[in-house]
Amino acid sequence: MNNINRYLKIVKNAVIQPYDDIDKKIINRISNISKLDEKLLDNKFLDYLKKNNSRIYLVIQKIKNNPGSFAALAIAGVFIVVFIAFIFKIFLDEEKIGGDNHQLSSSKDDTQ
Amino acid sequence: MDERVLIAKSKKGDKAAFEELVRQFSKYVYTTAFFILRDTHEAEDVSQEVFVKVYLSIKGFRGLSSFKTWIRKLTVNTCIDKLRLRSKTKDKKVSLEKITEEYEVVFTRFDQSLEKSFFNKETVKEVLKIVVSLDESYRIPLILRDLQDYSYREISELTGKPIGTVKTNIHRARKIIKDKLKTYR
Repeated sequence: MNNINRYLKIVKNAVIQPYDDIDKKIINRISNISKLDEKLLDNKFLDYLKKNNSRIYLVIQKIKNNPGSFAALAIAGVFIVVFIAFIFKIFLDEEKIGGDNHQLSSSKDDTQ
Repeated sequence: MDERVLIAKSKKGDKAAFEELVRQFSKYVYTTAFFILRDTHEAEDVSQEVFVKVYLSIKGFRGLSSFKTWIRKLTVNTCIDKLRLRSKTKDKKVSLEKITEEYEVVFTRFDQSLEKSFFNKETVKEVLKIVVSLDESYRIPLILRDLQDYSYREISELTGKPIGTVKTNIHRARKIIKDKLKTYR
């Protein structure tokens, strides 16, 4: 099956050579656009265009298409935040202990 | 010329720039349509229709996705609509003659080292022939997944079939290709 996937990857780069000059036909059609052609921009197409121009929609689609990787990313993000918070807490605690010790030693000095 | 420049010029109404875009993408659109519809005439119609739609709406294209992605989805949507229309008019199957009619395949990229070690173009062309000859229920999901990079969810939405069925059909399609290739060799 592995080889099939490799073949299909190559097939991806294959292009069918049309018999007729398709470029010419398309350019001709564009040069002679009629009112009827404007009907091609129906509601379905306009909806597609609108969705494709929406950043939020595209991001949601990306998340929906790769829920696993986004979940992994989110979990990794949470872990990083928790880790940073943990390190920060340790740092604060040490600073506090250091501060307390300093206070203790200075009060001892005062009593002497 | 760079695709982005061509799009920007086309948006301003530069027809020559749009014609250049047509030259760059027409074969890609035609090939996608041919793989899905298996009919050269319909593939031509779809190609024209897609570019007319693009021409009329390019001012509204914001470029959040690449032009190729935009045009690819447009082509696939148009083809799926044609297939639905075909099934409604009960013209479900295109005759085998049309499928087996000779068509010339060219490669936009072909890695020479790969060619030497694993593949030869003839085998790839054979794979292509098998793909084109597959039944619609196998061919469409396989093409969308392996050739057009659609997600299973997107294919499921487009074809109206559950994700499980889509996955099974793609797996079966790959197996058919594998089996047919064995007999070919």
